[in-house]
Amino acid sequence: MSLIIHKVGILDTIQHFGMKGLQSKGIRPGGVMDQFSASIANALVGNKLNEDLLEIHFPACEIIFKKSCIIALVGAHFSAKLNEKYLPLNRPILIPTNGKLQFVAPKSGRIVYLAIQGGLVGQGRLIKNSEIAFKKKTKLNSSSLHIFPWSADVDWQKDSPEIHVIQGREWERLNEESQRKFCCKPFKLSHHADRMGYRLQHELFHTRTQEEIISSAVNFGTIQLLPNGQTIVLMADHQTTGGYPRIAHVISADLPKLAQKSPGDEVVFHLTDQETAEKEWAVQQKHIRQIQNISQLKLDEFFQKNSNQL
Amino acid sequence: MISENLKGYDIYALGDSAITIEFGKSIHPETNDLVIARFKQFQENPIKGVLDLIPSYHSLTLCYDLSFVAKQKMGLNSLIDQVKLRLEEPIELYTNASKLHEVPVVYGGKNGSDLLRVSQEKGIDLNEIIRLHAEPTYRVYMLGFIPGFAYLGELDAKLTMPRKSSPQPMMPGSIGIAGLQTGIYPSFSPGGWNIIGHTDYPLLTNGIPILQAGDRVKFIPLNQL
Repeated sequence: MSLIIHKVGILDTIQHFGMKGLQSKGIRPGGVMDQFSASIANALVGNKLNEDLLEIHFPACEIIFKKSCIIALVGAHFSAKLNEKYLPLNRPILIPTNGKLQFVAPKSGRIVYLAIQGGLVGQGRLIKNSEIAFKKKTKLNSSSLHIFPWSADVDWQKDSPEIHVIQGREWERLNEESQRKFCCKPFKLSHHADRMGYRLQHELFHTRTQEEIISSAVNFGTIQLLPNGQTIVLMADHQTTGGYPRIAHVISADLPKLAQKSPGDEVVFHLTDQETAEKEWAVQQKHIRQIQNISQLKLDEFFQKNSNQL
Repeated sequence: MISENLKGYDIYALGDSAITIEFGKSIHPETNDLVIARFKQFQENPIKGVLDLIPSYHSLTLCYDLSFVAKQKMGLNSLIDQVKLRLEEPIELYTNASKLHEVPVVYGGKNGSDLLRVSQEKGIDLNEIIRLHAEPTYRVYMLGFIPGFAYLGELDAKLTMPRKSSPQPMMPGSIGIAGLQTGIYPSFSPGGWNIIGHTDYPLLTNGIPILQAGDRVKFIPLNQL
């Protein structure tokens, strides 16, 4: 009961949802870049929302499923193909035994999540020819592909450039002109963008003071001002502390949207407050839970009807 | 932004899922003692919804579960009220056994490539830089940035340098200076500090940092220039 990594991708990993409790030793929490898509993928296959799953970037890995299983792909559109048939996003899919999954062309987004019903054993970087075991035994033994007739609504999180931020501790260091530019001017994502951070392209920002700051904690979404006037948004594999001014922080609810931006894509920052950030997060979590509940019902119903054939 | 002056400390939001309590405005051993003492307090008696703690030179950060906090009637303010109550509690300052690490250093050369520039910019002789850097017994103020990176203080003010304008790749064992801080990169990583030397001293065992906040470090120069 496993899958085989037939070909490795550039940055593909088995991801968790962030390790908690070790940051005092300087050990970063890590975890999925786009928690929204990853949670929806888990919900669609009937997993707990924070089950370990594959995080796939482009160029992506090729996978051979040694055993029939149920998967869901959520996030970036990389033209996934199973034995030459294109697969849709945002739906549960029954994979036949020995099915070969490929991602042939990136169409939109940056990261796609592949959840497998029951979860996967292990964490970390994928290795060629490595075998990744399913956490749970499955009785499924299908020889044909089946795409389930329902899909998750991920549309409300439209592909807009708007990203909401909360002011950071060192916001006031930016001079007035830079503050004005920071809010509401479109910036492009630079090519220096990975799991640690996304750099932005913009006119250089200027500060009122060059005074060094004392290193202190940073967070997923913290926007640091580099001494050369450029900025970087810290992402999932961010360091635990840093000494660059923290001018703002992307709100948690908008991190998934930012994570899916590719180099050259535009972002526009808008200032908001804690109350809004809490509300937006709660709405997003509610949406995920609703998808989870409906998915579970649909899956149960489906298996009751089709128990003889699978 | 939430920022409240409260008996000598500030509480401010670090994004929507963490708050930082700042106990002072400078790098000072007593402030750091307080940070470590409060860190232990919150660690031993956790507040519901708090998932992680990050002590630093002069501040303690509490990372919280945003879903949990968003469900509270007063949102984040409920958590801040609890934190404030905790900070009212008297605390015994943390006294570490204060382990001393003697760290041998080769200064300058290929693995200390910024030493010459530091010397030129500060107008200080190379050997005088080595003497100034190796003279103090440093305190490990905190671990952070990457696993096992120990922030050491306080560097002689004559050696104060700004960070590099853009992070560069660092080798394990690289010894850097920035501001009033010095530190050792334990593994390959990007970094912005000015690299003046290199050590082979072991900094990680099986990924777990050797140096602990509160420990002391003495650099032993292996060369003159």
